[in-house]
Amino acid sequence: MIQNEKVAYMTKMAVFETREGKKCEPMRKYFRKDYLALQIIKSFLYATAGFALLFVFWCVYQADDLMARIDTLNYAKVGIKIGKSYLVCMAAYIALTYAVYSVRYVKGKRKLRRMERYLKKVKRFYRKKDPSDRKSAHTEKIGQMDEK
Amino acid sequence: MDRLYMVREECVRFFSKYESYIQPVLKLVIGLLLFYVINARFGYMKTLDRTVVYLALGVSCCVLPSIAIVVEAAGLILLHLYALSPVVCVLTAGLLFLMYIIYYRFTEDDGFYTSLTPLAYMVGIPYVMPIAAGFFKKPYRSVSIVCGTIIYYFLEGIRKNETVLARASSKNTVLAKVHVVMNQFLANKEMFLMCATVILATCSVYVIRRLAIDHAWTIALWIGAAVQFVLVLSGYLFWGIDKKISSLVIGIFVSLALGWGMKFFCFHLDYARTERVQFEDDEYYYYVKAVPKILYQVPPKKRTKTKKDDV
Repeated sequence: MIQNEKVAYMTKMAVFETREGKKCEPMRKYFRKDYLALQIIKSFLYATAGFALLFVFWCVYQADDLMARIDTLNYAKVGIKIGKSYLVCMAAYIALTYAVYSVRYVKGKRKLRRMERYLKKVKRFYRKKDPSDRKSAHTEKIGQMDEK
Repeated sequence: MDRLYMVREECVRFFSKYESYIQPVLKLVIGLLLFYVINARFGYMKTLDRTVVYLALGVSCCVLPSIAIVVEAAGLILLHLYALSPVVCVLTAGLLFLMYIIYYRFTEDDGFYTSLTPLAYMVGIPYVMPIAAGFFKKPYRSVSIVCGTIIYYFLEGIRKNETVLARASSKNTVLAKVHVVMNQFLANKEMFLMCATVILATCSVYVIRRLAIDHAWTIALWIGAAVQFVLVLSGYLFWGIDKKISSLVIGIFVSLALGWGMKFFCFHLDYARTERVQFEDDEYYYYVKAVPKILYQVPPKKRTKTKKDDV
């Protein structure tokens, strides 16, 4: 017999699995700190690549000016300036990563908890199987034993 | 008016009934349109302008998630630009990468607004995008439209300077090409004006349509259009771009009409039947304002008598 409530829970779980299952997978795998650390490491690599790209673009754009001042340029000062801007960009990017992924983790974890609640309810339904099902399962078992 | 409501109800019913078929078809149409426009405007690599390529890209858009349209369009643009000049291709790839790490990495944006924005610019109705984003999404989606705006102006700049950029590369021409490409981004005042306008208009539409006032969506639509009109017009007058004023006026009016269409289909309330109730529980006192939706009951189809019925 079809149990409407059980079907509703299973449908909700299936919808969650197809829509957000992949997105919530890391929240299932990692603790909050590990998840954030992983994202921050990724952000560090992305920000470094992005900054390097911007730096190269800027160098090529200013190539004529740089070539004209190549002998008189104070390299230490320029280096410190670039280092400072790199650190500022990196700090801003990592702060943004921390804020965005903290919220995402909390939301994902909440959704997973809800799904676990549904799963428990579905399990309870299976435990409270109606007598006719239990009977059929019993006869099936006996049949298997006879075959052996 | 009743006829319009009836058409709306029919449309809603039709879309909900055939949603699973309509969605891939819409993706296919948008994808094909976008790829056609890219090939028509940047047809530097002739091998890509073939029906087989269009079909392959379009069909893959149907099957894959929405983000595939943006990825395929970006790939197509990069291939065309590579045929024009590898330097331009590298710079454009760098720009797209920066957009990805600054915005797309942090959001669950499917790039729908980014891919539609350049198309809207080409048709002359970019003003509809902030209105749509303000109506249906959160204000941060304006960044998606900003990305589309940057892509449009950047590529238009490249197209205008294609004769300079297509020259054979030597030590000096590479630097000149980089200058030309970078100036499309750094020295394009109109692009910055449009970006600021998009952000301001999206935020104002979003804030106003969420206010608990009568006709919030209508007011949001008008104010969104007015903000865009005033900002863009003042920019054009300041820089002396008189030629574009007529297209601005037409674009704003068409965008208003489209915005009204969106409002009609998604949020149409009957303010004459507004109800205000007050009640309380243990913790709070509630002041509730309930505005009913305008729903039109489609009359049941009349059954025509057949010979069988008579029998």
